[in-house]
Amino acid sequence: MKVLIAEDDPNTRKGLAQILEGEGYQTHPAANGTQALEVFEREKPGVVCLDIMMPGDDGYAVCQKIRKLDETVPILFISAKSEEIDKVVGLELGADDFIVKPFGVKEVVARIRAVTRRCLASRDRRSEAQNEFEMGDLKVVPAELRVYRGQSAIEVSLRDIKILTLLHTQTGKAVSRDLLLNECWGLEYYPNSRCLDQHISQLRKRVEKNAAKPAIIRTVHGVGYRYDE
Amino acid sequence: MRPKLIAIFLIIVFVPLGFLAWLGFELARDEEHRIRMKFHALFDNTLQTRNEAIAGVVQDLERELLQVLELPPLEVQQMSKITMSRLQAQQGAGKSPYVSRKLTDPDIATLRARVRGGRLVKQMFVMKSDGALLFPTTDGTETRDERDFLDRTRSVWETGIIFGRNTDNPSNSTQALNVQSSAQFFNRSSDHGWHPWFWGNGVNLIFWRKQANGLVAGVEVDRMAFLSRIIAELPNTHPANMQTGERGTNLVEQPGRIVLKDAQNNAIYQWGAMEGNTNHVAAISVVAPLSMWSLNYFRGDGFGSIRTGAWVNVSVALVAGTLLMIVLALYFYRENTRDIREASQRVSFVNQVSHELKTPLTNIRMYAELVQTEFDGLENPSQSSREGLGIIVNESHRLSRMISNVLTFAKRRRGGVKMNPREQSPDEIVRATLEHFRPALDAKDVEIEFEPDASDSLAIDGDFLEQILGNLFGNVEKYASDGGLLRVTSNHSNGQLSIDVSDHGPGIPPHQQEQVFEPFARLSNRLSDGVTGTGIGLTISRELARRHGGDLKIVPSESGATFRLTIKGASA
Repeated sequence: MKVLIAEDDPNTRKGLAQILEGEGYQTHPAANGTQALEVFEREKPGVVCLDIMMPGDDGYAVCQKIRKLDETVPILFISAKSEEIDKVVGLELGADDFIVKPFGVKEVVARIRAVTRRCLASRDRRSEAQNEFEMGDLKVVPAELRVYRGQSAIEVSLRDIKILTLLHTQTGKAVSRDLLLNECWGLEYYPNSRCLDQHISQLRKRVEKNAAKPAIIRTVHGVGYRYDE
Repeated sequence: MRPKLIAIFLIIVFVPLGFLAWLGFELARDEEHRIRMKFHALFDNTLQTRNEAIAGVVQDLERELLQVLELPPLEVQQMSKITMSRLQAQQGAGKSPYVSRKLTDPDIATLRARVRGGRLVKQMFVMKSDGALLFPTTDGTETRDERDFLDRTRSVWETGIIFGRNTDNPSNSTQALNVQSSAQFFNRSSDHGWHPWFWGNGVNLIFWRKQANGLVAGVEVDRMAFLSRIIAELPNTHPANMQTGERGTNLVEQPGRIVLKDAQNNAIYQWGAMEGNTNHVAAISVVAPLSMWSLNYFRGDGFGSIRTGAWVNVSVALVAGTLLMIVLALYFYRENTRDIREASQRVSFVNQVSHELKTPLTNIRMYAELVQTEFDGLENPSQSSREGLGIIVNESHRLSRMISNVLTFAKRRRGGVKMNPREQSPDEIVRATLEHFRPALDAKDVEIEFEPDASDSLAIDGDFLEQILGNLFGNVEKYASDGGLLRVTSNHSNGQLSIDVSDHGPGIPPHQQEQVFEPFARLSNRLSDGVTGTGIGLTISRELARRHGGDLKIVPSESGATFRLTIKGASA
C-alpha cells in the first residue's frame, strides 16, 4: 500500500517514512503542499499523511483539494498544532485522524493501522471477498490487520500480513528469502537478509505460542521459511 | 465578549450622562426661577420709580391746591324765601344737599375768581360741616359751569358725603377709596384730602380743605390738567425711546414697554419700545388717590433671553460631559482591548514557541524509539546504550508534558481551553499513559498497580485526561518515588469517571492540601531537593477536571498521598 507523507521537516519526513516502511507500506515523500498534490495525482496512494504547517498550500488546503479528487482515501493530519479547534477543523475538512506532535512510534503505528483497517474493510465490502485463512491455531484476518488465537486478537502490520499470506499460499513449501523480500518488501527495496530475520523474529514473538520453538513460521536452514499445516 | 463590552460602554457613558442631564435640568430650572424672581424685582423696581414720579406730581398738585383753597373767612347768609320755595318746588320732598343758606356774594366772587385763575381748577365748591353745599347753588345766580359741575358731581353729593368728618373711620367713603399703601398719604392730615370719583370716561379728582368756620372748601381738579402734569413727569413716547425702550436695569438687555392703565384697564399713556413687547411681566397700583390705576410692564419675549442663557450653559456642560464620558469609556475600552490583545499575543507567542519546540522534540523522540526498535532486534545489544535511549525517550515525554502544561496555562487566562470530547475507553488512556511512565518508574524501582474498572467508552477529551494523568504520575515520579508504589484505580458509573492515584511517599500536610493547587506553589523550593517542575501541573489539572464537569482533590489515605480525579462524560 502506498502512503503519501507530506511534511516540511526533512528529519520528521524521513523518520515517518522509516516507521511506515517498517510496517510494510511504500512511502512517497513530499516537502510542501504543491509537491504533495503532484505526488498524490501521480502515485494515487492508499493513505495520506499531511502536516498542517507547510510552505505553499498548507495541510488544510491540500486536504480539501485531495477530497475533491478522491472522497474515500484516508487522510491523517500530523501536526504540532494541538489546539482543539485545529482538530475539529481538520476532521470537518474530511480528515480521518489526527496525530499530534510530539508523537511516539507506537502511536503512529497504531493510528496508521487503524486507518488501513478501515480502508481495507471498505474495500473488502466492495469486492465481497472474504480472504481470511487459518494457520494452525491462528485465524488470520488481513482486512483487520489482526490474527486471532481463540478469542484474543493480536495486532500485526501490513507487512506481517503479507508474510503470513505468502507462507500460507506456499503451505508445505520452503519460501526463499529472496521471494519473501521481493514480495513483502518490494523489488526496489534492498534490505539485508539480517533485516528479514529480525522481522521474522519479532513476528514470531507475537504470533507463536513459544517463539523459541516456532510452530507456524519454521526456519528452513540455508533457504528461508516454511509453514506446515 | 464584544456585546458585553458595548453594553458596559453604553452604561458608562449614558448613566452618568443621564444623571448629569437631570442635575443640569434641575439646576437650570432653579437658576431660571431665581433669575425670574430677580427680574420681577427689577421690573417692580422700575415701575415703582415711575410710581414715585407720579406721587411727586400728586404732592405738587396737593401743594398747589392747598394754596388755591387758602381762602379768606367765608360768610354764610340766609337765602331769600323766593329762592327757597323755588328750590323746594324743583326738588320736591326728601333730603337734599341744597340748603337754605348760601355764601355771600363777595365770597362767591372770590371763589369764581379762583376758578378762573388756575388751569388746574375746574370748579370749586363749599360745603357745610353737615354736608350741605353752600356753593355753588342752584338759586338762579349760578353760572352755566356751576350748573354743569353740580350735574357732573350729582353722584358724589347723592352719597351724602361729608368731607373732613370721621377721617379716621375706615368706612368713610373718602378714605375707603384710598386703597393700598396710600392711606398714610391721606391720614397725614385730616384737614384736607382727595376724593376720586368716576364720571365721563375716567376718574376725576376732588381736593378739599377745611376752612376756619367749620366749612369745607373743595376743588374739582381739571382732568386734562392733572393728566398732562403726570404725563409730563413720565418718559416721552418718543421715537428714540421707542427703540431703546424702558431699561429698568442693565441686566434687562431687551427694552420693555410700560403702560399706565386706568380702572377699566384702558391704556392712558405708554412709553418704551412698542414693537413686540406684548408679554405682561409685572404690574403695580399707582399711588393714591389714583390707586385704581396701574403701571404695567410689558416685554417682548418674556424671559426668553434668560432661558436661552441658562440652557446654553446646561447644554454646553452636557456636551462637555458627553465628550468626557466617551473619551473615558474609549480609554477604558482601549485599555481592555489592549489587555485582551496582549493576552492573545502572549498565547500566540507561546503557541509559536511550543510549535517550534515540538518539531525537534518529535524528531528526538521518534528517532530514539526507532533506534530502540532496532536495538530490540539485535542479539546482543549494549545495555548502557539501551538505557541511554530509554532516558532520551522518557525525557522527551517529560518535555512534551511540560510544553502542553505551559500551553494550557497560557490559554486558560483567555478562557481559550476548549474541550473536544470523543467516545473512548478511559482505561485505555490510563494504560497508555502508565506505559509512558513505566521505564522511568522502573528505573526508580516504583511498582505500578492498576485496577481498571472503567473500560466502557465515555465521551471525554482524551488529550486532557492524558495531560492530567501525566501530571499526577509525574508528581509521583518526582516526589514520591521513595514509597516504591504507584497505585491507580479507575471506576466508571452513571457517566461519572473516577480515578484514584495513590503513592506511599511523604504525603501532603493537611494545611497545604489546597495550596498545592495554587499556581507556582511548591511545597519545597530548595534546589537541593533535586526536584524540577514549573509549579503549574496541579493547577491546570484541576482546571481541566473542572472543565470536564468534575474535580481534582486530595482524599485522605493511610500513607502517602491520594489524588482523586472525577470527570463527567459529555453527552455525546
